[in-house]
Amino acid sequence: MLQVRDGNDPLLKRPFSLFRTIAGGIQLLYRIQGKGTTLISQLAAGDVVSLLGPLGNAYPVQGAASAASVSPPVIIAGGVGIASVFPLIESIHEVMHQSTRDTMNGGATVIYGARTAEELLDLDELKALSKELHVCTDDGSSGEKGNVLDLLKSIVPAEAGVLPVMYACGPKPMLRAVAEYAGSLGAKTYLSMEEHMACGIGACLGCVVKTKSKGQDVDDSADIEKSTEWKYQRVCMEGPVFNAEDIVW
Amino acid sequence: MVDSVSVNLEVTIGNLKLKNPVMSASGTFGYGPEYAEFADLSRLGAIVVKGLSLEPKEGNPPPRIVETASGMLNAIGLQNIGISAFIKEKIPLLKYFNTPVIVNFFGDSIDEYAQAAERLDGVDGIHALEMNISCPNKQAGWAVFGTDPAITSKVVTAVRNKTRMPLIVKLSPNVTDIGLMARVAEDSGADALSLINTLTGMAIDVRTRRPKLSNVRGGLSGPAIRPVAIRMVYDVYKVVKIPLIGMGGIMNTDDALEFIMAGATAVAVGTANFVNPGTTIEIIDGLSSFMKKEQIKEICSLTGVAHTG
Ligand SMILES: Cc1cc2nc3c(=O)[nH]c(=O)nc-3n(C[C@H](O)[C@H](O)[C@H](O)COP(=O)(O)OP(=O)(O)OC[C@H]3O[C@@H](n4cnc5c(N)ncnc54)[C@H](O)[C@@H]3O)c2cc1C
Ligand SMILES: Cc1cc2nc3c(=O)[nH]c(=O)nc-3n(C[C@H](O)[C@H](O)[C@H](O)COP(=O)(O)O)c2cc1C
Ligand code: FES
Repeated sequence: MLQVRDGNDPLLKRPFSLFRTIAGGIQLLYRIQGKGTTLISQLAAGDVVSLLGPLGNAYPVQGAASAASVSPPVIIAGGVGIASVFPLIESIHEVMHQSTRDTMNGGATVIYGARTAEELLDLDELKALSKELHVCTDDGSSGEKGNVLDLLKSIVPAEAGVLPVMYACGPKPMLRAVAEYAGSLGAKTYLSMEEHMACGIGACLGCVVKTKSKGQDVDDSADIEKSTEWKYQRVCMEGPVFNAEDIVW
Repeated sequence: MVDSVSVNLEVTIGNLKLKNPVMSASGTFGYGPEYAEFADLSRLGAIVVKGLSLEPKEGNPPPRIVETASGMLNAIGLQNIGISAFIKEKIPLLKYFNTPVIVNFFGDSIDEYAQAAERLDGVDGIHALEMNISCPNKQAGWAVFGTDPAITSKVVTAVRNKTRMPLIVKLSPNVTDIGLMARVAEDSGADALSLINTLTGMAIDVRTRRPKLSNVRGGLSGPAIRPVAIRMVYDVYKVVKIPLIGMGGIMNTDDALEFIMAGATAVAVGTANFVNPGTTIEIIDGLSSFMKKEQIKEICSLTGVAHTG
C-alpha cells in the first residue's frame, strides 16, 4: 500500500504489487488510472513516499516446479497484471533451472496481453525468463491480435493430455474467463484478485471477495459461519492469490 | 521549565476511567489485535471494536469502499463474527493489552439489541458497551432506529434494562435535530454519547452510469465530515450533561483538540487508522505536548472551552 502524498486528498493508500527487487530497493510498476497514479507519475527521484507492506500471500510455486518437467506452468498476465506475476516468472525460471539444469528452456509459458503495444513491458527480458512468451494486443500492434484467452485456448487446448498449473493476474473479466476455462479443463489455477482497499491490514473488511466455504481454510476474523455455502475473504489478508475454483463470480 | 509540567490525560466516561481520551472508532480498528503491530495498544485510552451482533453477519457484496474528496464511503454491511465468537476468540487476546475494551453492538430489532446487551453484560474483559443505533429496524420497514426519537427511546431503554455496564449510545448524524436525539438517549439511560457515525452518501461512476457501491448508499467518513461533526458535538454539549465521545475525520492532534474544545470528553479515531495505523498513538503524544506547551494540567479542563467567553 503506497501513500501517494501527505494530506487528505488522495486520502487512502493505493495497493500495488511488488514488481521487482533490485539492488538497494524495490520497484513498483504502475498504470496511470486516476488521481493517485497520476500523482505518482509526477514524483521526482529522491522524493519520499510512505509504504506499508509487504501484505497478503504469494503465488504458491512448489507444486508447479515438480510438475514442470512434464508440463511447464502457464502464467497469464493482462495489462499491468504483469507486475504481480513478474516475480513468479523469475522464481519459476530459477527453480526450474536448478531442478532441470536446462539452461536453455527453463521457465514458464507466459501469455501476456495488453490493449496496445505501448502498454507492454520490455519483452526481451520476459523472453529470457520464460520458456515461451506469447504476446497479444487488442489492436494487434504487438504480437497476435486478440485476447489472452484465445491464446490460452490454443496453447492449452481442451484435449491437452497433461494439464499445467496456471497463474493469472489482470482485469476481472479476464480472470473470470481464465477461471471458467481452467475449470472446464480441471487445471489447478491461481488468480490474483483486486478489490478496493482502505487499510490493507485486515481491519476495515472493505476488500472482500466471495469464495466457496471450503476454500483455503483460514482461521481468521473475516471467516463467517462455516455452515454457509460461501464466505467473504479479504484480498489483503487471505489473498490476493486465491484458488480459481474457490472464487464465486 | 516547560518539560517539568506534569499533565493529566485521564478522563472518565460513566464510571469507566481512561488513562487518556483517545480511543479507536468502531469498525476502523478491527477487533484490536490487527493493529498491535502498528500501535502500542496498551497506551490507548480504550479499544472500541468492530460492531457485533448476536449472530455472525456476512455483510454486503463488494465494492464496499469508494474514496471521495478528503473522505471515503463505506458499505461494509456490518460484517462481523458474532458476539459468541468474539468472546471466545478475541477477548483472550485483548486481555493482554490492559486497555479497556468497549464493545460496539447493534441489532435489527429492539429485542435483538436487548438480547445482545444481555449476552455482553458482565463478560470479563469487556468494560463498556457502545450501542450503534444507525442501523435499520426490521420492524419499521428498515428505517434507521436512531432517526426516530420514540424508537430511540425504546431501544435505549430496552438495552439499559439489561446491563449495568457503562452504556454509550452512538448517535446517527442523519437527523434534523441532533440535540433532540441526544436528550432522548440521555433520558433513556445512556451514560455517554458517541458522535458522529457516518453521514449517508453516494457516488456514481459516470462512465458506467451506475452507483459505485454495490449497496448504492454508503457512510461518509474522514476529514470531509469533520466540520459537521464538530458542530454536532458543540450543539449536543449545550443540551446534555453526560460525557461525549467526539469523532468524525480526526487525523491529528489539532483535530482531536477541536472536538474536545467543542465539548467532547474523549475522542475516537476512525478513518485515519487506514491512512496511518499509528495515528492514535501520535495523537496521545501530541495532546500531552500541547498541554505541556500551553501549561494545561488536566485535559478535562479543555472540554467545552469553546463555549465560554
Ligand atoms: C492487490 C492489488 C495489486 C495491485 N497491483 C497493481 C500494480 O502492481 N500496478 C498497478 O498499476 N496497479 C495495481 N493495482 C491497481 C491499483 O491499485 C489501482 O490502479 C490504483 O489504486 C488506482 O488509483 P488511482 O488513484 O490512480 O485511481 P482512481 O480510480 O482515482 O482511484 C479511486 C479509488 O479507487 C481505488 N481503485 C481504483 N482502481 C482500483 C483497482 N483496480 N483495484 C483496487 N482499487 C482500485 C483506488 O485505490 C482509490 O481508492 C493493484 C490492486 C490491487 C488490489
Ligand atoms: C469502514 C468503516 C466501518 C465502520 N463500522 C462501524 C461499526 O461497525 N459500528 C459503528 O458504530 N460505527 C462504524 N463506523 C463509523 C466510525 O466508527 C466513525 O463513527 C465514523 O467513521 C466517523 O469517524 P472517522 O471520520 O474518524 O472515520 C465505521 C466506519 C468505517 C469507515
Ligand atoms: S483493505 Fe481493509 S480489510 Fe483488506
